[in-house]
Amino acid sequence: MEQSQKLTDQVETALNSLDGIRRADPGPWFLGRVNNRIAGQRRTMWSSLGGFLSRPSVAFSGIFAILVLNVVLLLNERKESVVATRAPQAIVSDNEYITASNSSFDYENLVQP
Amino acid sequence: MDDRTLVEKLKEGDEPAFKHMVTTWQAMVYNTALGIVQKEEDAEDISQEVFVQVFQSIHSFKGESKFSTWLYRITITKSLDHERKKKRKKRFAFISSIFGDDKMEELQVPDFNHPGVLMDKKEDAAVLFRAIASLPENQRIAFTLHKVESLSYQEVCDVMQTTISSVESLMHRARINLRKKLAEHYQNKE
Repeated sequence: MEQSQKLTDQVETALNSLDGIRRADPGPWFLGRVNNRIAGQRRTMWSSLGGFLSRPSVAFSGIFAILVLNVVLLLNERKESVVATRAPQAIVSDNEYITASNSSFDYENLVQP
Repeated sequence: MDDRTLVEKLKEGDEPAFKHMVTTWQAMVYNTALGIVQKEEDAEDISQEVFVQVFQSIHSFKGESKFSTWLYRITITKSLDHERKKKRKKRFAFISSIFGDDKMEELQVPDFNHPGVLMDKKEDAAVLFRAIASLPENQRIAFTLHKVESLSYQEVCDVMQTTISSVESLMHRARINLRKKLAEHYQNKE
């Protein structure tokens, strides 16, 4: 009985041992360490990006993609200029074949009532 | 500086505001992390990570909760992630030890002495912290926030995004489990 009471007391004492606890502090210059970490992360971000881009496979793929893009743009530009130079001729020829247009011939040969 | 002004300034990248934020909340973040991971170096590391995360994701803070509540949530998430990583390492070390590697010895956790505990209670507190470490996650968080960070039930429920009754229930179950574990410890000691 006495032993059981002693055990209960021990348990309750341990349970209440955090009463009056004070906040622990991270120590001096914590802000400096946080700033260093942020700067370090920025550096690692840029260096990892640089490292990724300087990989031979990535670099060659990039150059190849730029070349392909250039060729495609060049071909597109050529096509557009051909269409642009042809366009006025096409408009003229279209006008010549419009059957609904009235020419001087139509006016001269009007059937008089 | 009130929460809203502080957050606005942080979003603008204001350096003095960041300094003010770190110096105001560093003890709170560190103490919470320390209560969960029970190791000073790990708590320091987690606290730094928390402030880096705040710096990077302040734009995602919408002001629906108090700034301190948001900080508590980040701290708890980071601490629990850290715990999970540590457990994975332990499991790996156990498997390695089967094959004759001695990594298991390095991972034996010594008793934790919280620096804020009163001198005459240090021994009992160390036993209690060991028992707390073995509680299920939710009970551990609720108990730590209430007992180590001295948050009210309402504040605990805001941080854990739950109801007061579930916090009460978590605390009740935590106490029952702790009593059992402490009784076992003292019985074995005799």
